[in-house]
Amino acid sequence: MNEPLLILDPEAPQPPSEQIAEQLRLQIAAGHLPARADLPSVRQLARDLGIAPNTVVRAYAELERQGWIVASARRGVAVADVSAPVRQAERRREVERAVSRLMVTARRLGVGADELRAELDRQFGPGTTAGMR
Amino acid sequence: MDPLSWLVAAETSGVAFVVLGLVGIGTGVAQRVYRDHRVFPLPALRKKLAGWTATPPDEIADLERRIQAYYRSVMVTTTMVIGLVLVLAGVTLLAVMWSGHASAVRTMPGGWVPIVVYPAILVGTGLGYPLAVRVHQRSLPAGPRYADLRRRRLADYRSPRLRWLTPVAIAVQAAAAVTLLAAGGSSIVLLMPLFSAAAYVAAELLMWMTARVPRMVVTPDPATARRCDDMIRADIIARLQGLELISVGLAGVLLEFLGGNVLRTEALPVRLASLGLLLSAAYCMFWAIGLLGLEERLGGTITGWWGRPMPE
Repeated sequence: MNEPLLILDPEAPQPPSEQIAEQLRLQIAAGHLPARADLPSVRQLARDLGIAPNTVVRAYAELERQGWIVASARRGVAVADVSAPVRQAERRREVERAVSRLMVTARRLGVGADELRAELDRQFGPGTTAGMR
Repeated sequence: MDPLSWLVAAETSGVAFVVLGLVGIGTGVAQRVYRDHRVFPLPALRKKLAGWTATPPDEIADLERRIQAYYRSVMVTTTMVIGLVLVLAGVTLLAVMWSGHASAVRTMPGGWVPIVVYPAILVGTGLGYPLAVRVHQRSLPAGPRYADLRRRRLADYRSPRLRWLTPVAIAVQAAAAVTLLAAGGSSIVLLMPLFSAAAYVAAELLMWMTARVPRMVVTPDPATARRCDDMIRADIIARLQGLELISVGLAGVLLEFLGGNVLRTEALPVRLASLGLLLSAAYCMFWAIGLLGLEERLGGTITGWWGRPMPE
């Protein structure tokens, strides 16, 4: 089944709880996790990822504080009913962050706008950047 | 003592369980030490992986090697735990015999083998899998780990409708037991439906636990790893479902034996009870063999049904 996966990279600079929170937030913002969808229990997620349950608790607490998920003793943890504008804003913020990271890398490597456009065309298909002038 | 009585005697059964259990443990240890590849032959594994669409063409050989190693680890651990459960059952039976309560365990017409061996395999399989996963997890190299973003449920691997197959047989056994008791049978006949109910609850619990066992990283690509993990998990759940039905079916046959002193009468209710018990056993065996033949695709949301396309 092509359901979203959470991937934890122990070598990434971000701590595990932040990796979990960020990936969950993005999956919700992108609509891959619909409102009221049951999220894995703290125990299941911690055991799958091989981390301490407290790490997952921290990530869930952060997401709950930001209004992305809701937790209840009876139903466990589920995706909150996040409004479309909030989800769009989060998607946009993430795209901006990703492009900023790309720009930093491009400047470091001395890659110009034309070369970036060519690479985008190669990866997304010819003509993708036709209107980006 | 005639050969049949000797064969079904509690002492013989107890010793047989201990010996069988030790053979199981020994086989498991030997397979672990000598890395016997026959535990899951490559052609069968290749067919299975293709069925589960878990075969990225560029790394097929490496993937097969990894999955085979993991499968072997699961099967070897399971064999050892089954052996251990059989040894414990045998020792318990012998301990009861030698503690002066021989009459309590001798009164099992048909012997202890049918009601001990399959439940032992059921419990051993159900406990062996999480243990194998735990052992495997300790030896995992450092690297990215992955997790599902939803709660895993038993319904992912087995259709919830299949949950109702066994209670039908248990209800028939309970009705037959009450009929036999009313017709003058020993109160021991009530033990069999209770045993069936216990086997059912244990099997459902073990299947529920199996669905929740942590994911295993068997290959660097998370999507492929998840597919392979699902394949092995579904295989264990299908085995448990089959063993549940076989255990309950054999309990029906034994109940028919137990009611032997009553079943000699010509009374219609007793004859119907006998017929019901034999039919319940046949029903359980039919479903067990049928479901075990579905190659672990028991209509779960992840597995789908055998013969139909794998759910996307």
